[in-house]
Order: sequence, then structure tokens, then C-alpha cells
Amino acid sequence: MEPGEYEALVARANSGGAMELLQFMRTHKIHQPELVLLHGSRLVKSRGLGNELWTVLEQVFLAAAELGCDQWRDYCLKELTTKFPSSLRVERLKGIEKESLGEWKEAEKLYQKILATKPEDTLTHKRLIAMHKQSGKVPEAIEAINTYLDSFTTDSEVWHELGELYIEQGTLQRAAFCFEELIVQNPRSMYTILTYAELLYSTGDLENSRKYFSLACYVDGANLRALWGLFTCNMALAEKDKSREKSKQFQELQKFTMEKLRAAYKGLGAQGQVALKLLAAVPTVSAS
Amino acid sequence: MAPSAGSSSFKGYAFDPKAYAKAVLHGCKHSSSSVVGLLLGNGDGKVLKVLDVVPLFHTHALAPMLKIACMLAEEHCKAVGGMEIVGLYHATGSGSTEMTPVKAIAEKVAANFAAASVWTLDASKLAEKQFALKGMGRVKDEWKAIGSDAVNLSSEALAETSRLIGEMRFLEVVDFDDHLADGRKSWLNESLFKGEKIEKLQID
Repeated sequence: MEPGEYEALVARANSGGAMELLQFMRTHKIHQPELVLLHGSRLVKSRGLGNELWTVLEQVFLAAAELGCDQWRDYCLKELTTKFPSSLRVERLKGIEKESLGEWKEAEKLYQKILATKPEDTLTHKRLIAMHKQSGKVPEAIEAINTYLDSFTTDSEVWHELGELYIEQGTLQRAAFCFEELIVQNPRSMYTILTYAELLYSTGDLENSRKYFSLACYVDGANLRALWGLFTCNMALAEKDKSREKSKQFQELQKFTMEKLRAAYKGLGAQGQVALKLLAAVPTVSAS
Repeated sequence: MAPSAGSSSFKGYAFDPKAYAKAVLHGCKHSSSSVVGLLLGNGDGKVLKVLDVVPLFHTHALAPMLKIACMLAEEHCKAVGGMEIVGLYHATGSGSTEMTPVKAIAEKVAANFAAASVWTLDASKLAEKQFALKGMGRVKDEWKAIGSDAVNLSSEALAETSRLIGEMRFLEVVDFDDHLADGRKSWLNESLFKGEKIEKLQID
């Protein structure tokens, strides 16, 4: 996704681009249920969707269920059930309907029934996990994920979920373990590298944190999160660096990072000025 | 930075209408995630004035980016003058109004501003156009609930906030997460309320 691409689609949605927007949101997993409901319901009413209708109905259903918009939720589910009476996918939606009504036990029953006939249905497993999470049962969610990962060890999406849950709980060492797993699976994912670097920093492992922030800068030299991360690590390690053999190189690294940041914030208005002032106030380490 | 306020909590809390609206809109934008932001303002010993807020994160709030965000917010305070970081606001994806998830961050803010306060979004109050932030104030190393009678915000400000939510203006709030993903997006949110009635509403 290009920067600004999504925003442009949102702006065009009222003048005939609604279908494109909804499609884009599905492919890129953009979570903004209000927009889905607003444009999706309009599309459904216009009755010109053809084969897309069923996908949009499902999308609108999910948004409506999340937002508690009961009429649209019930309408979409009714249409889908009539069209696909024996579909497992629709069964899963029925579970989501129960969830939105707060009937967690009923929902769980539906999910367990699906899993009994189709234990390899990963989406239903994930729904169960999400349900625990949503009803505020974090320990149960973590347990469900760990059971799931016993069978589906390479599912990076779920490793990610587990990592985020550990962060939420404040067990950062465990979270770091999950992100290590994710790095092994996808070593060039910026998001993973950056989150791992942030976790290392938060657990006090500044040296390794700096290495991973450096890696992130190497993969994408214009990424602000990576640059600020490297900048913070360099600051925190400045004293220690002084007594090192390669102290000169570390100074160069910080100089380089700050130059990149300065370049990034030039011409960005008031917020750019704030960042430039902060950078100007940082004491530059003199060569010792 | 030297601690500027005494160790006691404030008697009253006054919110600038724009600051309140921005915090609430930020929570509404990411209603299924945990959201956190900083309160900027000043206190004269009796009343704490919340003059502005800085929306920070809607993903996780980990130490390095939190540090940078706070440094930038402080720099911004210096540029504007007459305010500092005085507390936090946050919202949870599950709708719980406990302050536990941000307690660690709150302690850090309190280390610099002793009478810091933490405000949790209670979305159920929004529908009734009531003040939707539940406050906890720092009193002698403990967090104590702030009574709703201590908060000052006009009903006009509440009505305007509710109107902005109805118009889905929360989609336009930019937080520090958004900024880090695309540098051109400004976490200062300069144009969020441009031309709106709320822009002219004054702090009580």
C-alpha cells in the first residue's frame, strides 16, 4: 500500500469508488468498521453489486456486528443464510452474531460444533481466540493460542497475536520470544524487526536493540520508527560507547542517524520544527 | 526537568473543549484497540488546566517510541509556552475503565509532574452527552478516583464533541503511530477543528 493511497480511496468513496474502497480494505485488512457500514450498506441498497454482493454482505455483517448495528447485522446474516444454507463460513458468522449479543457460551458452542466436524478449520480456532480476548479473558486467550500453536506451529498471524497479548499483559520477555519466532519466519518484515527492537530496548537489552534498529534502517532507511529507535539507543549507550575501541564509529552512526532525521523533518511545518529543535538540543559527543 | 507541582492533587480540573474532543475522538477512531495519549496543561495549585492533548498510540506503547514521543511533546510545550505534560488519557478495546494497562506509563509521568492524573474513556457515557473521562489523580504515591463534580467542561463543549463523533470526524485524528508510519501526518493535528464551532469555545 502506497502512503496516501487509502486516504485517496476514502475521499473518492462517495463519488462511485465505494466498491473499490471496500475491496481495498479487505485486501489490506484495514479495520475501520464505521466506513464499511456507511458505504457497504449504501452499496447493498443500490442492488448493483452482482457477484460481489455476497462478499460485501459478509463485510457489512462483520462491521455491523462489531458496532452493534442490529438491523444491518440481522439483514445481512439472513440473506447469507438463505443463499448458503449449509456453509461453514456462514455458521461461523452465526457465532459472531452471538458474540455481538454478548452470548459468549452460545457462540463457543457453535464454534466447537464446527471444529468437531472440521478440526483443521483455522479461522474458527482464531475466532475462539479472538472471542476470549474480546470478552476480556486474556489468560484464556493465551491458553487457547498455545494449544493452537501446538498443532499449527508456523502460523505467523497467531504468533503475532500471542506476542501482542504478552505485551498487553506486560510480560515482555515472552513477547520477545514470539517476535523472534516471527523474525525467523519472515526476516525482512519491517514491522517485526521494529517491534522486536522495541521489546529488546524495553527489557533492557540495549545492545541488541540497537542492532535490530540498525537492521531496520538498513532495510528501509527512511523509516521514522527505525531512525528514532536507533537515535534513542545511541543516546542511551553514549556513555558506554565512549570507552569502546570503536567509539568513533558509534559517533558516526549517531551523526548519520540525526542527519537522516533532520532531512526527514525538513519542510514538515510546525511538527517538523518541533523535531528539528529537539535534534538541535541533543548534545553532540565530541571526539575523545 | 524539575517537579513543578506540589504532592497534593488538584481541587478542580478544567478541560479545554478542543483537548477533550481530541482525546475522545482518538478513542473513538480505534474503538477496538488500546489507545493512549498525553495531557498537556498547567496547574496553579488549585485548578489543573488541560490545554491540549497529544494522541500517541493505538498499537502497543513500548519504551523507545514512548520516550521519543514525550521528548517531542515537551519540546512542543516549550515552543508554545505555559504548559507541560500533566497526565495521560487512555481507552481500552474491551471497554474496561481500569487504569491498570497504563499504570507503568502513568508512574513515569508522575515522576516528572507529581500531581499527575490519568483519564480513562468510558464510551457508554458518550451516547448521553456526558463527560466521558473517568479520572484518577496521584495523591501521595497512590492513585485515587477524581469525583465528577471536580471536572469543569461546558455542556456546549460536550454537545459539540458528540456532533463531531456523529460526523465521523474521528477518522481524521492523527496519532504518533500514524506519524511514524507516514511522516507527513502531523501528530499536532493542526487542522482537525479548522472552521468548527469548537475551535472558538473557551476553557471554563
